[in-house]
Amino acid sequence: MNSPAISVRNLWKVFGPGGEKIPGNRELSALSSAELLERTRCVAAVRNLSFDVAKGEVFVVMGLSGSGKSTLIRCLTRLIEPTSGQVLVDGNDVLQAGTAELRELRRRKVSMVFQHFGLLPHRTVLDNVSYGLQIRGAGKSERHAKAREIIELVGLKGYEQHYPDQLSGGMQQRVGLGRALAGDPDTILFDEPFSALDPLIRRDMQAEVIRLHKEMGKTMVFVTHDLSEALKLGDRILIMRNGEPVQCGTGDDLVGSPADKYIEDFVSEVPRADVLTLKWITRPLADTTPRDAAVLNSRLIIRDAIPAVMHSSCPVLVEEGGRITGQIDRDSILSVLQAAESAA
Amino acid sequence: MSVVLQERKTARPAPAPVSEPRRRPSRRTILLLSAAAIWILGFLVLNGTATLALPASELTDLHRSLNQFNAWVAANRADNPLFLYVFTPLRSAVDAVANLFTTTFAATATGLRLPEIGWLGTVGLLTWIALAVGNVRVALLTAAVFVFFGIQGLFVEATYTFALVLTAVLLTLLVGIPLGILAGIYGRVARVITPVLDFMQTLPTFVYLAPLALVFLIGPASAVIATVIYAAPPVIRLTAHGIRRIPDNTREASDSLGTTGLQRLLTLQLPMARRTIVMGINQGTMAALSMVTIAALIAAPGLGQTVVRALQSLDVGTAVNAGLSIVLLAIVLDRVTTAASRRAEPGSARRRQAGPQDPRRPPGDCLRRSPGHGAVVQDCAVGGCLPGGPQPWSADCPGS
Ligand SMILES: Nc1ncnc2c1ncn2[C@@H]1O[C@H](COP(=O)(O)OP(=O)(O)O)[C@@H](O)[C@H]1O
Ligand SMILES: [Mg+2]
Repeated sequence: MNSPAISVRNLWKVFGPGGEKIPGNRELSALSSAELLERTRCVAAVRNLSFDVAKGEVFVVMGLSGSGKSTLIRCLTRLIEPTSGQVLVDGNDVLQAGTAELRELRRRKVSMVFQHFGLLPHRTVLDNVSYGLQIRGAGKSERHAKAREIIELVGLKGYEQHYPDQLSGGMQQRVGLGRALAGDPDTILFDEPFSALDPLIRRDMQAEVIRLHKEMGKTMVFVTHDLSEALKLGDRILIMRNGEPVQCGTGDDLVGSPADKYIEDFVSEVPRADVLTLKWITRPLADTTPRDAAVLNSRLIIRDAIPAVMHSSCPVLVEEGGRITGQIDRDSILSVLQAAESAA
Repeated sequence: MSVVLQERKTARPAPAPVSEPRRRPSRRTILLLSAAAIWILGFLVLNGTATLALPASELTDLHRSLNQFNAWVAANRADNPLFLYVFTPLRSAVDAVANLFTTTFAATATGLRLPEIGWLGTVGLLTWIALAVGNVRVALLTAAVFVFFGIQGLFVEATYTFALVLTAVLLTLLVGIPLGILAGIYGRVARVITPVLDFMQTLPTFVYLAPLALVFLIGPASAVIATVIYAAPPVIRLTAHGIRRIPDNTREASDSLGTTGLQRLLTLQLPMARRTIVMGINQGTMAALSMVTIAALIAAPGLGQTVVRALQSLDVGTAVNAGLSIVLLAIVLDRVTTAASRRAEPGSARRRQAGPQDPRRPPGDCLRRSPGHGAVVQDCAVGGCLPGGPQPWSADCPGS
């Protein structure tokens, strides 16, 4: 397996006076957020976090508001200076990087899309999208040519000369997305990019991100507080609470085996049939099941398996890696659907 | 301590507590009565001695030492290094700039009461400047007012005042904008500068004319320097404010692209603070005009002198006439710099293209003109949403 795009080890960010002492202090670092605030007047926004993001992966960080997601994602490029720990991007330690090195990282390797867009109001769409290239020192015609290409890619063709305040929220975020893409970075960080948009536009933008990810294959770290967004986009999801990691895994891991009550509550509203794979409802093979029954892959989403199972007169076999691991029948699917009905 | 406590303890039960408030007069009554008593005593003792009017200009020690200092300055102006290398060059530089503008706009150095470019040249040039930084309306106003100066026979005085204001404003910006930028970027600079600015603005203008005249002699140079001191605070404050006011998320977005400090200044901070900075220039200009007028007291040429001289001979007509000219000049300067600040608003260019439109759209106004609606329709079309969904413009409020 090739090396991860981003690797985070024991990352801490403590806001407040004397915060740098807390990660190293065994007693203080064990305190809960409330106790810590009371004792030291410090807020530990990120506590001892470690994870890897593989190349080309969409890694989602999820948690309620105030759980430290924005702080975490800003620590990755030191827009917020981490208190301690290690952040490796392509194997290079970001925390040890000098000013020039850090600038190069931000200019060429990692760019970011913000919740409130962060567009420059005095610049046209074209100049906003080409801003990063200008900062990098690209000539006017070069950067405009590249920006036009990107503007078309994000679906804003014809709006090159508009100013941000003439655009709707969704279009402004397309500009933000275009600006992040223009520099052709390896990794794009998203900090709740669509939470300021209304649901319809949000759905389109999510589709847009999925499309771009398919087309360009960039590594993405995506922060959200919306579980359905996380499940839709994320290859893997890290759930945070009060700065601490609670569980990290694929969407169906989280829904199928929540690590604790907190996550269980979180995922209780999810339509399980849309998220879980057959793996979670496979039962041991019964002797009565004919060996020549239909076979489905264990990673198939339950909803997609419904027609096959319903049309089969006998249970359906489930295989994983070419080996039959068990069977499912109508009852197992109906029980999942039933649970979703009663939860709703 | 314990003694006091004990005294109190023993003293407390003795007097009847109920009658206490009535018997003891209040603190204020006591103070008033004692003041009256002292006053009467003083009257009795001092009556007739040392209570007559003070001699008007009796020399005190302070007077004397200041006059000595004055004499010292006069004697050492030519060879003291501070004067030789700081004050005198500064004075000549300011004089040179002031001269450039006065000969261009007001009167030639040869004493001819006409500017180098002719009075029509002055009117034309200023009108063109007004048009370039403002709009047609203020350009017409400028032309009309300067022609009016000519008709009133105050053209040279008015243009002298204008030239000095221009000199002072240029120097103010030269000093004020860099300082304002530093104060806007570095909190520490702001903390050092703010009390100084407060002090400069607390000083009544009258107060620093004399010391300035002492150091820089009377004339246009000290008038300009006094004006710079008076006009710089608003420029510095507003520049710093304009930079500090930039939203964190915009700055963060710029940083996330790897800007250097200088790039951030040039591509983000200055453009976004531009409107506030131009407002500062407007405030500074108005301050400069009022100070240049007052600086007539230290022999600054211009309308101020006309007013001062006319008042000395109770020539009300001339004084009011010149006063009116000052007001008109103030209006021109204000209108032109305001028009310039309007134009400095982001995106004002497109507003001019799109025709007149109130730049201050109310915050709740989510409905846009046609380009906005087109935008929303396009937005949906790109993402593939179906017509007949929720009202498309509900998505059109960036703040929501
Ligand atoms: N600059 C700051 N100074 C002090 N505390 C902060 C600062 N920024 C964030 N915090 C605190 O850190 C915690 C996490 O904040 P944030 O990362 O913004 O959470 P999220 O993005 O998940 O909503 C919050 O409790 C917040 O109050
Ligand atoms: Mg956040």
